[in-house]
Amino acid sequence: MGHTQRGTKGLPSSDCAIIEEAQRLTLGALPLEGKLKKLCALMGRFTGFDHCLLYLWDADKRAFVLRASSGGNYPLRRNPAPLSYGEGTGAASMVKRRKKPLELVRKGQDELFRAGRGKGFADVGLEGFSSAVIHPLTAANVFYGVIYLKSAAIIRLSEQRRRVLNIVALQMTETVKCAEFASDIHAEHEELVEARARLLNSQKLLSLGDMAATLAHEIRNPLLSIGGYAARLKIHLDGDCKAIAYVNSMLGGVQRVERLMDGMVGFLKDSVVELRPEDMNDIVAEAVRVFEEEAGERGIELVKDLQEGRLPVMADRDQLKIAFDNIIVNAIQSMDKGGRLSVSTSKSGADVVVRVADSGGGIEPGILDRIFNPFFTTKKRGTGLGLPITSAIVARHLGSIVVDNAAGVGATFIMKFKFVDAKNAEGKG
Amino acid sequence: MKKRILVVDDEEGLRLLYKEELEDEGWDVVLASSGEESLQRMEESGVDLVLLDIKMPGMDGVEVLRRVKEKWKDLPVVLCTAYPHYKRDFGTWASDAYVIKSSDLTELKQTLKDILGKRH
Repeated sequence: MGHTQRGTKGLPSSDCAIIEEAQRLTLGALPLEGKLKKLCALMGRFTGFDHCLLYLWDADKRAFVLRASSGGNYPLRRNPAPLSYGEGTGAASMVKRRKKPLELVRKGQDELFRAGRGKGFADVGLEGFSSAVIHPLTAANVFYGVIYLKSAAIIRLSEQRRRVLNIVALQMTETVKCAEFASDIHAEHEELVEARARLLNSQKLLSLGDMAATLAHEIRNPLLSIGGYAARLKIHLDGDCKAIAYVNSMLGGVQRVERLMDGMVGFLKDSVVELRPEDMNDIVAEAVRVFEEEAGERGIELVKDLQEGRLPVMADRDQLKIAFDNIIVNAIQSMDKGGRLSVSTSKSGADVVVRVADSGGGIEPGILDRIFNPFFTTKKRGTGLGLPITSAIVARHLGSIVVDNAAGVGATFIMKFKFVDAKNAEGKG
Repeated sequence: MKKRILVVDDEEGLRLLYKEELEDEGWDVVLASSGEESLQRMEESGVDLVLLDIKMPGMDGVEVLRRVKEKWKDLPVVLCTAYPHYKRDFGTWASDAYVIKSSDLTELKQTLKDILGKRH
């Protein structure tokens, strides 16, 4: 054929078809991974490169992460494509810096890898290849990542191909941008769902608090009567009289119910948190200190691993200490033959994370969903209020608590709180 | 001279229990079953301390406390209740001590001793 058929914008119709297909994929209903993979395949097919990869820039990790690829089954054995490139490494970083595409072609017998090195970067992903094109994905000055094309054969792109590649890259950027947008919305939605669950939970606890208040009054008075007169009765009984045992039993029972009432009103008494700027490390260290001696006596190795520096949070110090106490007490009680108790703090994104891990055999899976229920207990003399109180306190700090349970090994309680920058916290206390 | 304590509680059983226990400690005890009655007792006979229940029908303990502090600024008042959250109530801040009802009366007696001891 003497000439190719021309489509819109002076491009050959085969190129127009590529752009249309990219358009169709971008707008289609495929899940993101599928879309990106198909776009990679399309790009490879169109340019003739035998391997097309998509590396997206992850601003949190400060690295390029491989998100999709197509091709890559070459006759020759080569290094597998790197799954990620750290900041400043590889050809992708070069493109990020230059903000324009990079085209590499082997000269003579020289390897592309060495050619790259000559240009001021080393990229193991280029080893054994003869040509490569690394094209940036940018939109409105935001850098999203690169399309990375490589081939065992020498391929030089025509000006026209470059234009088409640029258009498809733009479409790919749109796809990524939309997906990111959707994932932001999704994350916000999740956050709302979580907040709602917390709210419902705190409402539940609030009504429990009301009930505790009523019960406290209705039960404490008669208890005081029973216990108080039993104690007086005891004074009037002979020391070796059999009835002394009966009275003691009555007194023991009364005290037990009173302790239970104390725990119940704990919900009520502390239903208001007074949040001030605090250092989570400081609170955790103080909570742990109380148990150092007891842990030692019980043959428990107490490991404290606190994140370096300060971990600013808005917190009610006394209440958080109660929350941590309850978990640490449980952990210690679960290790009656000694073990390892590790308490750690760390920062993860916008969260301050506190972990309490024990080697006490973990929680029986069958009861795992009930451990935060008020009055549920496996202990002979437990009130079943320790974990519900902890969970209530954490909720009042707008935090979260989960259990990572390894049945037969140990349990880890993971609590997350919002990291509050000291500057923002000022003046709020 | 024996110190005189006025016990105010709407439950008869508790009034008698306090009376016996506090008399055993060597104090004189006067009883009142309501807020109104307690003010009357204070008018009639001099008391050294008031042990006051908060939740009572009619005039409650917080109101009694307010009136006592208006009239006899220095008369110590110990609030005694099943409700720990009253501690957050501004109305109760004027009290000299706050004791949560418990069948173990040790804490209550110690509190009374501390306050009466200061006022020789």
